[in-house]
Parts: sequence; C-alpha cells; structure tokens
Amino acid sequence: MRVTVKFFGFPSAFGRDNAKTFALPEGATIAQLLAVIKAEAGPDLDAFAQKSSVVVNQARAERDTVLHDGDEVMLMFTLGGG
Amino acid sequence: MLYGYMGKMLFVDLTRGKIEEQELSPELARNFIGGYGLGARVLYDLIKPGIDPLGPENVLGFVTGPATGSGAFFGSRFGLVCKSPVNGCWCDSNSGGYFGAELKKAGFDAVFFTGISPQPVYLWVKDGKAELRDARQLWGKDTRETLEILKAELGDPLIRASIIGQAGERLALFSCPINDGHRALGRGGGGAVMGSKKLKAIVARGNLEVPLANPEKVKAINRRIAELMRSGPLKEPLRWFGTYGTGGTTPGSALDGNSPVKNWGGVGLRDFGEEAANKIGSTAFDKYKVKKYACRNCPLGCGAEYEVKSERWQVGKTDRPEYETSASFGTLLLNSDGESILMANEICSRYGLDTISAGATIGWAMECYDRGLLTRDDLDGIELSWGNSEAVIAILKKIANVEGCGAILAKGSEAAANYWGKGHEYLITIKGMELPLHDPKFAPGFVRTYQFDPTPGRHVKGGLGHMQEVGDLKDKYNYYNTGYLDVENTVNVEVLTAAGFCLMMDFPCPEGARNEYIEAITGWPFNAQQCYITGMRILNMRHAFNLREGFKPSDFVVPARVVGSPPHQEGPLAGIKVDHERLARNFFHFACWDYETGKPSLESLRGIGGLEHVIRDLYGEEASCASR
Repeated sequence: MRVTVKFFGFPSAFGRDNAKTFALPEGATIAQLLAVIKAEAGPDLDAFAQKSSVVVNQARAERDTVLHDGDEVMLMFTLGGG
Repeated sequence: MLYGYMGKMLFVDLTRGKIEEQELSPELARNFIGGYGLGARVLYDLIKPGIDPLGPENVLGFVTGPATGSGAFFGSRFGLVCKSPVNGCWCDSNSGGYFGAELKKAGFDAVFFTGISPQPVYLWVKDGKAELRDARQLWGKDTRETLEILKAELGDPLIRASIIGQAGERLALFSCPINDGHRALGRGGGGAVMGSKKLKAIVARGNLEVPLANPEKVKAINRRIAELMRSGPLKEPLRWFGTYGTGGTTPGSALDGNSPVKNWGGVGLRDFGEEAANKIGSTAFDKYKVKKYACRNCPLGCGAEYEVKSERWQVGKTDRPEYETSASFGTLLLNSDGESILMANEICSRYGLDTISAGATIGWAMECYDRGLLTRDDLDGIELSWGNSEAVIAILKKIANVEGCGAILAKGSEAAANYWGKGHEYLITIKGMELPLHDPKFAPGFVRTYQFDPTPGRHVKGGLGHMQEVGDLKDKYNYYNTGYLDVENTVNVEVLTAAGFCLMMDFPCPEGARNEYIEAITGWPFNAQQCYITGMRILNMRHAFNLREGFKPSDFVVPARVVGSPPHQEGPLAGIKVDHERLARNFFHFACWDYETGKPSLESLRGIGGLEHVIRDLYGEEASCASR
C-alpha cells in the first residue's frame, strides 16, 4: 500500500513541498512508517519524527495506529515551549 | 562572600525621590534563589493585602538570579514582580535579552519601586550608583524611540533599558515593559504598574563582574553543553530551532490541535487549513530575515532581526515573532495575512503590549462581532470580522493608544465584557487573564498550570503541558496519579526561572545541568532534593500571596471550551474532554494544598522551612514560633 506523508516543521529533506509517498506493507503502523522514514532519510530526520505529533486523514493518531492504502499522514514537529 | 550575586538591592521610593541600598542576606538568597522567588519573599513583607495594584502601595520589582550575567549558558533572564492590576493576584513575568545581566553588572541584584512619582522619571543605574532622572521628554514616546533618546542623553550607545511605551503610560492592563527592542516582561500588567508610578524606564550600564564560586566549572558545563549541541542526537532539531525560533512550529501546531483556533471555537484543519497555516510561521517569514541573534550567553539563538518592506504596513525593521504571537494574531483570529502578524508584533513591541492578551482580546471581540453582540458602532466603525487583517491592525492601534473602543479593550477581554454587559460566554480567561496558545485538549497538563499557578493563565510555569506536546504520548489522557510529576516539573521550573535561566535550556542540556550550574555559580551544594525543596518554597511563597489576598481555588474557573465541553466533533481533538478537576486534585494532593481552601498543610510548610511568616499568617503566631 502507499501513504502520503506531509512534514511540518521539518528540514526540507523530501523536496520543496516537504511531502512524499511511501510504500508500506499492508497493516503497517505509524511506528513502521517512522522506521521507513529513518531508513531513507537517516537519524537526523528521525530526531524530528520522534518528536512529532501525528494526524492521519485529519484525525489524531498514535504510533500504533494502523495505516491503510491512500492515507494522508501529517507529521508535526514540535519542541514544546513558546 | 556571596557568590553569584552582587549582594545589594535597591529600594526606590518614587513619591519622595529617595533611593536606599540594602544588603542581600545570604539566607534570603539561598532560600529563594533570586528572580521571582526573591521577589515574592520581599513583596510579601512590603505589600499589604487588599491594596490597589495601580496605587502607590503596590511594589514593583525587577529581580535577577544567580545565573543572570554569570556566563552560564541560558543565564540571561530576569523577572518583574508586583501585584497584578488585571486580577489582584500575584504577578511575575520574565524576559531575556541583555538588560538583566546589565542591571546586575551595574551592581544590583534587584530594584524595588514603591510610591508614585509626581512627574515621569527613569532610573539610571551605573556601576554601583543609581539616580532618578526626569523623563518628561520621554513620556509619549514608544519604546524604540525612547531607547534612542536615552542613548543620546546618556552619551552611551551600550546602555540597556526596560521601557514602557504609550500603552503602559495610559494604563492598558495588558501593557508590559520591553527591553532590547523586542524582549518583553509580557504578562500580568507590569507595564500599567510602571505607568501608574510614572516610571518610564530603568536604564543600566555595568562593568562590574559577577563573582562566581567556581568559574572553571561553569565554563566546563558550557563546553559540555556546546559539544552535546554539536554532536548529540538532537543536533539537527536544535540547529533548526536556532534557525527558525519558536515560530517555526506554528504551521504544525495550527493543524494538530496545539494552537487554539477562532477564539478556541474552531478546528485548525477545518477552519484555518494547511495553506493558511504555512503562511504564518517563521519558515514563511524567513525571507524577511536580516540576521539571527541570541540573548546573552545563549548558544541556541532563537531571535532574528527582520526587514519588512510592505506597501500596506509600515513595519520596517522589526523582530521575529514568537510562536505565541503568530498564533494569537493568526490562528486565533483566522488571520493568515503574515505581514499583518509582523505589523501587530511590531506595534506591541513599540507601544509595550503583551501579544498574547492583545490577540486574545481581539479574538473575543471578533467572536462577539460575528455573533452580533458587538456592532460597528461599538467598535468605532471597524468591521471586526474573522480573518480581517486590516481590522486587526486598526483595532490594535486603538488598544495601543488606549483610545475609543481601544480604551475599553485595553483593560482586557473580561473587563470589556463587563463594560458592554455581554459576551461573557465567549471569554477565554482564568481570573481575568487571557489564556496562552497551547490547547489543553492537545496537552491536558496545561490546564492545571493555567488554573492554579499563582499567576493564572501562563504557559511557562512548568507542569505536565510541555512534555505532553512532544512525540508519542498516548498516556497524556491518562489522569492516574499525575500529581507527583506535575509538582516535580513545576518546582524544577520554579528554580530554573528564579535562578535566571531560560526555559529553553531543557532542550539541549543533560539532566542535572541546572543544579550543577547553580552549585558552580553559588558554591552551595545543590542536588535534586535541595532543588525540590527550594522550588516548593518559591511556589508556596507565591501561592501564599494569593491566599492572603483572600483567593481560594473556586475563584479560578476554567472556560468550558478549553477543556472540550462540549467536545470537538471533528479534527485531531475530536471527542476529547479534559478532566481538569482530577488534574487539579492530583496536583493539590502532592503539593499538600487543601483543595477547598488552597491552604498548604502546616506540616508541609514546616518541612520546607523558611516560610515562618506564611505559617504565621495561615496558622497563627504560635504555630509560627513552634516552626523556628
């Protein structure tokens, strides 16, 4: 299956739009998606991903949320504070 | 020898024009560290309960900590303390930049003002000497103009100053002093207290050295942190933070539910949207950046100077807005016009206004306008519809000048609702204080801090909120036994802030660095347990001020929207209802505060120590004597 990931507050590791489509096995979770991102983009980007909140199809998601083909995932990096 | 301190405090009687020096006792310093801890202890003795915050009996303090100007990384902060004119509660706020260290290097750990000057004055402090000077020529000038005039008048381009603008002079209740152009002692109305005292500015220039117990150890800790920032696992996020500042997270926060939207009544993904969100963060604003800058001794450097050449707004040279500012003038108002946010930020810097309360008060008025409760006639002809950036700037200028409808709104949203006799159901305030831009439905811990910090409505007072914003935290909606961690995080921040450190030090610094710095600066043993007890003492000291004013927990009411009552029907926060009462009860239990009266237990006050005067007021003279 394929899911599209949009990155907010990340360095532009995936091009100007900061969005990329990933191929994942059926039944993959957000945690598995993050592992794929780490493998492709390296530990520096993973440091952002691990500190991100996740929204899937405009709803709140957790690391164990199961993804489906065509899902839109948003990763929002935050350091907290203000 | 008192290491980490200059050992002197100034007491300025503005009514009589008298200045007195007092020694800072080692006991006072050690018990309350500095900043608002020291300030709370001093003001508890000087301020009688029930006094008018804008009258001569209020005491206004500017207080540094041992870290301020010590050379320790992140040690640039200083605090303002007074009784708040917004709600009569305890008030403290703190700021970074360079002013705090300059005040200290000018010879003083703290300055306290009483009385009201017969005419506008400023305090000039240089190398151990202080004098009040005529400020009539400065009255009516904005903060940037004032600083330039002061530099010329004093013949020194390197002075640092904390200054009120016209909003403070005219007693706007969310006005604040500004230092170093953009840094604000933002919240609680300290600007109005300065204005009421006819105190335009405090100006400092210092060449004295802050004595350190172990300067080599301070340098060694600095080196360790610098290395961690260069090559640790968070090196890229920290570099990113140094590039974009707090505002870099604004677009994501606008969409994941962290930022409240449409006066807390909207859903970011539905009502604001991705395109709008991407227009209001530091990433979008980066095209205006001239250069980045940092507060004194900060290795992160989250600030930036901008140059905005706009045909619509006379922004010019300005500074990067913080996250709070981009959200308060952005998502909260459905305003995606980025340059209007930069303009609003510049107006607040020049006139001296708290950007959180300014944006939030306009958000309340917008909702009232949208619902027909306020009309164009009420708002001096301004069409204050959602997202109307021209209207935002027009009404903000009125607030900054305290004129027309701006004179009503400059007292804050709750006072405006009382004046017009409507719109109370749309207020997002606790005890009259507009709430910051972190939604407790996204990070539930914030609501306990907003409700029960002695300065209600603050996001920088520790607790669970900030740790719940980051990463995978499924358990953040689990309210089991939250009190212990909530209290621990709170008292750690009490010590960090009182010492003069920046909250952002927690991102790169290893566990324990704060206490190591305090040991190296002061020479006192300062382990985790000593930190805990000291933080509890400071927290209880600030809390005792409110108890003595007669406030009880039931006076601090959380608006229903803030906790999801009713819950959102869609978006990332759908279905979430925050159990704020349980969070509060858990906190009170571990803080040893009675949930009905707010009183700390006698046993806990005795255990903490150094609070005999609080015991006397809460439990009587006999109990106090037995505690000595």
